[in-house]
Amino acid sequence: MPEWLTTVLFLLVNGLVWGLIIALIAVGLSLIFGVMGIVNMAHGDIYMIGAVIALTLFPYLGNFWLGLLIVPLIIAAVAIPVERLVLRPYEGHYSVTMIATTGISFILQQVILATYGGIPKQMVNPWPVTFNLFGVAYEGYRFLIAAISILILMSLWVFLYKTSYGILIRASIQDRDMASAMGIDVSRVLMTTFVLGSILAAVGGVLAAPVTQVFYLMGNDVVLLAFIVVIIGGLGSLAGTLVAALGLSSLEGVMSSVLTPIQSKAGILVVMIIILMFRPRGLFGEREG
Amino acid sequence: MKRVTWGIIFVVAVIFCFITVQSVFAQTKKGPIKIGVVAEKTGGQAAYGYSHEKTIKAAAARINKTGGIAGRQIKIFVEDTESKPPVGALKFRKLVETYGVDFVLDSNNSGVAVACAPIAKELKTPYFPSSSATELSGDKGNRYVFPSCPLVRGEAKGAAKYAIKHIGKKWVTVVANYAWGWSCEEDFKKYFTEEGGTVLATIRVPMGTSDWLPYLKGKIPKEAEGVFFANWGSDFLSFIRDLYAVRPDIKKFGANYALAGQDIKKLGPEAEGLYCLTPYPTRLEGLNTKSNIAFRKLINIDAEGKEGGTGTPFVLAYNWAMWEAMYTLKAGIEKSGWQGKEDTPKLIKALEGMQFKESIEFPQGDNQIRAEDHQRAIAGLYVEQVVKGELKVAGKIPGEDMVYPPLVDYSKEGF
Repeated sequence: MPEWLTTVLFLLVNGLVWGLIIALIAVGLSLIFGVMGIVNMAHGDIYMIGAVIALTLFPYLGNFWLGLLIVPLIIAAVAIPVERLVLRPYEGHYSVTMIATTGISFILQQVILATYGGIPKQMVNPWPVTFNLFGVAYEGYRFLIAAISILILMSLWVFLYKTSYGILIRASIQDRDMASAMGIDVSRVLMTTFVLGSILAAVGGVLAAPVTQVFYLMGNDVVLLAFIVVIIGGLGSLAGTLVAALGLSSLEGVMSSVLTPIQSKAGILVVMIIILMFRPRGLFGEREG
Repeated sequence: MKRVTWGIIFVVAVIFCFITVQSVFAQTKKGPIKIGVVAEKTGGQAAYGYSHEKTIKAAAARINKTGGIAGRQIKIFVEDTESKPPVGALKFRKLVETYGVDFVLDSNNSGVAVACAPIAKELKTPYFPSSSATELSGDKGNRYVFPSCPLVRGEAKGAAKYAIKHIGKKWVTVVANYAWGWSCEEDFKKYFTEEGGTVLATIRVPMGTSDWLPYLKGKIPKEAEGVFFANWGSDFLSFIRDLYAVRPDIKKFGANYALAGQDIKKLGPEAEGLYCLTPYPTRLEGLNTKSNIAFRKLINIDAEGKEGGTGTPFVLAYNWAMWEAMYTLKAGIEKSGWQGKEDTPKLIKALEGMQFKESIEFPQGDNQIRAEDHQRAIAGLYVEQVVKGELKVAGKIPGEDMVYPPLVDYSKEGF
């Protein structure tokens, strides 16, 4: 096989793997925005907090997978009061929630800097095997992340589309006022959605910890891409978010085979602009009214 | 009655003026020397800011304990640049205009240092950055700026010579996509080519990239023997991991900063054999002199380069330069007889061409401030290598291998 082809195929596969991690984070962001009308600027920092907690707990638990189960519980315990006390009064007010969540982002980053420190650390790889993927010693753990992400996303789909509570969440996304008028406890739905979205981001952080560097600014690398994915996929559309995450990550990877790194990153923004020119509400966004 | 009232007012005014003049006079003549520090306390370089602030305060404490500078105590004022040039520039102004500092030290961030340089001239305040941007002794510097450490061009020159002599002749460069990275890439390529080597490809990667595989796979020619890289922190960790996956055989040579603050034992097989430039060896055995032992004791760093008390790797890339900057100021002030801002031109002239001998005040080694461009000519660089999970000094680059002609002549510049 010619080298250029192996390179392109490798970048496609690698892009899909990263796309699944981005999808986990972006789906949480999309849920929070779709149901609550909150532009969560701290979403990348929740991803970071998940990774930091996992790294901190590891020496005590001695087991990465236990950490993956415990981190969501910790995040839920923190997300509930944050939603109730900080964000609830401003839900639906985009600009105010942007400012509020930017403040939360800053606080989270500085707390971690003050306690955990500023030097990046590596998490132990829980499955240290490699496979020859088109000439690259590819970490087997990355395939594991992909599999776990698919499992989580499928479970989320089942929850949203096959359970009665999922119907309540989807109804609230579609029309919150009507949902409230129909007797749905919208307050509980909002809280559940925020907790769910936060857990998804934090789990993304735990899964990514062994393949990235854990430090207080690590969320910045993913949050911009997550927002782009949500916008291109269509605000509040989970299928759109997944398609956009996989598509953009793969596209960026393939573009980097012919463009410089900075050009391929800029290329993603160009793709976003082109898509929004023809589909202002995103690929799967629903028309208003 | 009216005449008496005016008389009283006049006398009170005269007394008030007298007291004010006296207190100002007393402050300038006998008050503390105020030194400002623009440190990266937050942001991507927070670990450097922590190291530099601690070292500067240790130097100040030692100087004050032994009588201060010319009989005057030192007072340190620290501001956070947030690792951002606009913020750093603002904080520089704040230090001078609000706190009235006489001198400013630090920022390790090239963007911050370059942003502060013109402000130093505008506010007539000597500035001693710890950044290695070549421009600071070039078109972006001025007569008020005294870079405290080796600059990228000199480092790259020395590295290129070492690389072709000891490692290989065909290289690729991989750098962080900002000013420091570009300088490393361009200067290494220039000098490496002059030495007879070939740079086969240059790759620039945005900072904060988690996944380097797309930027390395298919981009490093088969015949490349080595990679000269310029990145640090999280970028460095991701880079060596992914480079090992793509080309486990290739030799790696990092510009300064790459290993700063890293726990070598935790880096894994991807770091084995890696070379890295440094002006100051991480482990004491690399520079086992009385002066260095004493210096490390004063800043509470153990023989392995870890901070006493916390046991965490301490960033040692350029904190020694800030220690030496404090003593450079001391020497310059005492030689020139500096008393206040009006004497700053005398101080600057005294510093230009000044030489320093290896001592506890200058633990890195003999060095000199070059008069034309204020560049600090140091004793040389070290090449550290990761050998079986430990950092060893593999070689040294003599100071003369780093020297390049001055790009400017500040002595022709007025004050």
